[in-house]
Amino acid sequence: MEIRLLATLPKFSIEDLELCLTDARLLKIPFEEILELEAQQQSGDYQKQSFKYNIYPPVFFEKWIEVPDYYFNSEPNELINEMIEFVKPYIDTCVCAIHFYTGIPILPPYLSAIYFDYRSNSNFEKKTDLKEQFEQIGAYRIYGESDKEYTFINESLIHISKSEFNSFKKIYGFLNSKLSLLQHNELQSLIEPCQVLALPGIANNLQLILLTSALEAFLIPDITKEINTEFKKSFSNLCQLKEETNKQWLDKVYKLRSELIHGNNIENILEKLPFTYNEFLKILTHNVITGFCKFLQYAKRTEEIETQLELFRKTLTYEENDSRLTELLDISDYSKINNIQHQWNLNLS
Amino acid sequence: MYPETIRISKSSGYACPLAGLQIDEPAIELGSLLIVKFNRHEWEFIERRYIFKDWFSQYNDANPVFVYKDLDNEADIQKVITETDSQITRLITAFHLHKYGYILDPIYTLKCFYNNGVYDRLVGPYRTEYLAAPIANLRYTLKAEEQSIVNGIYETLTITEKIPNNELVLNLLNNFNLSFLPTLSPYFSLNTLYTIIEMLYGRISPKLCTTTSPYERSLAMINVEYGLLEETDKWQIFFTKQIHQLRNIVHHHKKNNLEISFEEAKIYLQESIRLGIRMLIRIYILKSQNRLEKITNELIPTKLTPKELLNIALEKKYDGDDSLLEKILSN
Repeated sequence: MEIRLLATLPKFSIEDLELCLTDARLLKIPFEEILELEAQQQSGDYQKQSFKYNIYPPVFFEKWIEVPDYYFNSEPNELINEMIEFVKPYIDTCVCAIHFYTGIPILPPYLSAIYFDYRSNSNFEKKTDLKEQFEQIGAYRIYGESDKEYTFINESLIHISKSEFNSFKKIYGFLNSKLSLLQHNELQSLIEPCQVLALPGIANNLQLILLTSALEAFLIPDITKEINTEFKKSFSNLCQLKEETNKQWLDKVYKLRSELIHGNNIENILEKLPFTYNEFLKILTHNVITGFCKFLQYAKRTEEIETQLELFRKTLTYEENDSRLTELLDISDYSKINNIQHQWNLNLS
Repeated sequence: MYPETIRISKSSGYACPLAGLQIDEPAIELGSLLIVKFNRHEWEFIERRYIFKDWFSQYNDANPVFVYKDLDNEADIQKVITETDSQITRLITAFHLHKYGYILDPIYTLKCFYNNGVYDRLVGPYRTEYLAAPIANLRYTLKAEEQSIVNGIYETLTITEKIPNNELVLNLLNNFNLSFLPTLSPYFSLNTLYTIIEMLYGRISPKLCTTTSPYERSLAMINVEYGLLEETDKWQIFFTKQIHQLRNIVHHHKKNNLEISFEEAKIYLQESIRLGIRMLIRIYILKSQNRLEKITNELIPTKLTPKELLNIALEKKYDGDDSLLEKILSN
């Protein structure tokens, strides 16, 4: 049987009504359809909700997925957690694509509403009572800790304009082709500290600690001596920064983290940077993301991810002109190979 | 129990739920904040029916608690709100430093502001937690006799925020508060706690020639509060044996094969950190009042930073010498 997954994407908007991806869509749906999914009738309360909904329409990640028949043999919503586990890789890929394309992490859809719409001719043919069931109870659904908040009123923070649709599609396609790798625990643990930045109220110093912790775990998890030097070398090779101005901030990344951990004042270091603290964090975030993308480009689905990470890390410690490093950087250059651009690379004026 | 009339200002007010907090009294004062239980009418008034119907019947069971402030039209309202927000964050930190429990800063749930017909609200990703958490038995229950302790910690934090060069404490507190957030993966949550352990008990200057490890000093901090533990005590086993293994498991994202769950380990680490931060703050305040050297000079001749002093005192404690800690604690 099949289901139509509709996952709310909190605080995210697109310029048009839909953005078609290879196997899925990002789309806005009419309020009346939300009422159908919720098995609700129009009422005074819902009229008010409709007004707000149309001002700040939510965007959903939509994907039709083949699911096991037994999902429909039990009580409605009984297997909802299992269904969530089943569709998690697809939702995570979309969340990751928005994060990696814009540089801004999105709040996980699991904190909002996720619907499983089972209305389809083939489903109704296979199980005749489903149509009536839908009219009575609506779609299978689960609400996270923010309930229907972002589904009904979705003031956006992250936006993708129509002119960027193709660029976004490319990064989604790239990440979708790496779906099984992305689900690997070791990679999830690297991505999670960056995704935590989607939460409100994360102070700049904490952001820096989170980003450098992610990088440390990614690049030098077993190094205990000369960490600063090793970190700088690997990160510099990963970022391939040639210009002196770029090297200036790179030199400071781990130093800032160490000073914060030691409890020292970092203002002196920040003052010497050619940009503000916020800009510094933004540049760091972008480089962390491109670093992950490079590894994803490099890694093969068929091989052990731990072994590949180890080799990737080791190669990054070679000297700048070492052929093994040059070869790795060629293989991992996803922007050349897949023609990918991030939102921050585009001139959006 | 719940009066059926609206008792709060209908023209101007600021209200934020403290998700998880449960109190017995209808209203209390903590820090400089008024904390109240709204009746259902007041709740619906400040929520302006934004809450979804499913929650209506559960309001009384959730028994939520709100910070409430009347807003004076003459005052600079934005300034009042900014001040109130930082007071709330300080209060949440004080709760975390007092004891373990489930409580969320309203930045993650909801902040409601209204002023003569203008209505605004800031919604966080855990928007319904102030209703859902107590029903799911995720609570921070504050007894009447604990209020003065929380007030004391709140005052201490107010003083600490004004001390120069307090970056370490502020960064520790930010990380500590982060570790309490729900829906972080157990790995990430523990990773954050190990970073705090490193910030608090690790990276000591080699010139001090410490002989104990950060983990031994974190155990010594537990011993300060709970006394020496038996070899077979679960806490003792954790801090002497499992803490290293768990760090490697977390660091390399391996499967947990230890006889301790991530959740239990999280509580142990949080407890040592909670006590350590409180002790560190005490040292910072003594230092800012120029009382530290007088206390420690006879025992420690070198000039130490507050963090170094904390760790030297814990090392001595670990080696069975309580003299320095007693000096600090008695001041």
